[in-house]
Amino acid sequence: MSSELGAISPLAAYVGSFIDVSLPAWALMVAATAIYWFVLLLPPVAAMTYLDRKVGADIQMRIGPNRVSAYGVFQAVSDAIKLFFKEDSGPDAQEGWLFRWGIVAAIVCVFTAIGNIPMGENLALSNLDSGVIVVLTSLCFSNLCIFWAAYSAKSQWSVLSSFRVIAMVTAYIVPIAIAIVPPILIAGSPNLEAIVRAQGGMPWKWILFHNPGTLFSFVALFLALQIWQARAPFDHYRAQGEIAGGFTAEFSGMRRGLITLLEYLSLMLACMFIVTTYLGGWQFIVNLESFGRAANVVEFLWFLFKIFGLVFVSIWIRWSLPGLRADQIVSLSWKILVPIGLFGSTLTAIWLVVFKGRGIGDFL
Amino acid sequence: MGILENAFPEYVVFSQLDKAINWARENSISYLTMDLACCGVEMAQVAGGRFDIERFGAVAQVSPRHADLMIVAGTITYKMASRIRQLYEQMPHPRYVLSMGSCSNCGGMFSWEYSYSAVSGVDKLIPVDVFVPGCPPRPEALLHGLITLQRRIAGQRVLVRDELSVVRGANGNP
Repeated sequence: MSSELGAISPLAAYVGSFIDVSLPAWALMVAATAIYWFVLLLPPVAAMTYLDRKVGADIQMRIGPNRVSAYGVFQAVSDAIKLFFKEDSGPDAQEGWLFRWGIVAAIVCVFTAIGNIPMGENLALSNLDSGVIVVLTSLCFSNLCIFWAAYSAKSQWSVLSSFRVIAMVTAYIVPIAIAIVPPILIAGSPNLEAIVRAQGGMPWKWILFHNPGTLFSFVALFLALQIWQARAPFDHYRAQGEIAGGFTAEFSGMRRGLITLLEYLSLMLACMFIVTTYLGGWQFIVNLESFGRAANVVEFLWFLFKIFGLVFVSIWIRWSLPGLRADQIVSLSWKILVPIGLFGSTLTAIWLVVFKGRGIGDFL
Repeated sequence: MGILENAFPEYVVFSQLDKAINWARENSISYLTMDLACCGVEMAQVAGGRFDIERFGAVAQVSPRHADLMIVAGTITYKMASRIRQLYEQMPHPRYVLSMGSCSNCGGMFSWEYSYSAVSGVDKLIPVDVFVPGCPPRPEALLHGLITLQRRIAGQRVLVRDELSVVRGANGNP
């Protein structure tokens, strides 16, 4: 039973291996989901909100929040409590449930994608052979849910924002779908666990440095995922200056807090996806076989270290570049990201044929 | 808060919960910028590097539904008055108003004696929590106004019963 469960959900089987009593599979799945959400996922996401404010303040030569506790570490806690005790108001003509549950559905989509990504040897909520495809589908669906929430709010800002959301789906999903081809070709499978196993701990074993072509598709994937998150400078559908926050404009109270959660979960998902497919995933630089169970902790922290490197780059881009118009984003996507993604994928395919599947790291 | 507001007796548990909620509210003020005239320039400065209102956890918002505090900075014309009222009504509870500068405090040099087109003070339209004097006030004065508002929030009763709440309405606002 345990091996069957391990094939579906490695984390549930891993949780089951800690206790002697044999629990039913669904109980292990619930426990694994709770652990994944509250222990592995939410602390880094909370840290990201703090990092965003502090690094952003530093880039603008400000100090940033520092009154809540030492260095303002608990600013996110204060924000969350305040939003929880705030009135939940909305426009008069809202389409009841679509407006209320659209953001929740978007968070569910993002979480569905995140659950496929392994954060350590056994720390993946699900292990699907079509992992990459599920992630790509969830990316699209999360934006569809945002479209529901925006369109049913029935204010002019939200409706404008909903048009922009739909216009932008093709702008990011085509470059992502093209740029994800090299890891699938190199690993021989769209299973995210297999993609991690195809890489190694040292940088020259990463898919990023597998051949010259993967460098190009890495850039395409990174920028396309930035467009998907709609963080500044790609914040055309949640732009504060232009359309008053777009779909966020009509949400108040805790629903507003959920939008912030969605924003940082999206950032987390984008960075996890890039680290897993191009930057070696959770593979540590040395062999951890002698560590026993502590190996998982080391791998998880190493994975987080790489994620926060990418998060720092995202924050850096966000606070230092001016925003792009919607047409500029579309032309960036179709005229630059798609060609360099196609170039990278083609070069990788040729390289794999010529060098019989070996990368640069294999020749060193 | 709804039915929980001012519904509990004056026990230690509830007053400590009040303290926690007030701590969160005073340290995370999202403000709606209502920059109507030259005071708006001083208000924009307060978010910059030299004064940095974000140290207190305050962030500027563009949508009234995200805001806790409306900073009215500048001359209020009769045409703008209805908009200010509408935006205030769109803000979710608890909501606060800070009036910045002489024009929005009392009309200033555009008061009814001198001008046919300006409202003599924002308190004619909406309830005001803090007045910041000056023409225009320096950013330090606005920061002091924010700290004053934080003290006011700290003294609020959220869960604990408040005899005056019947008269004053929720959060001291009519």
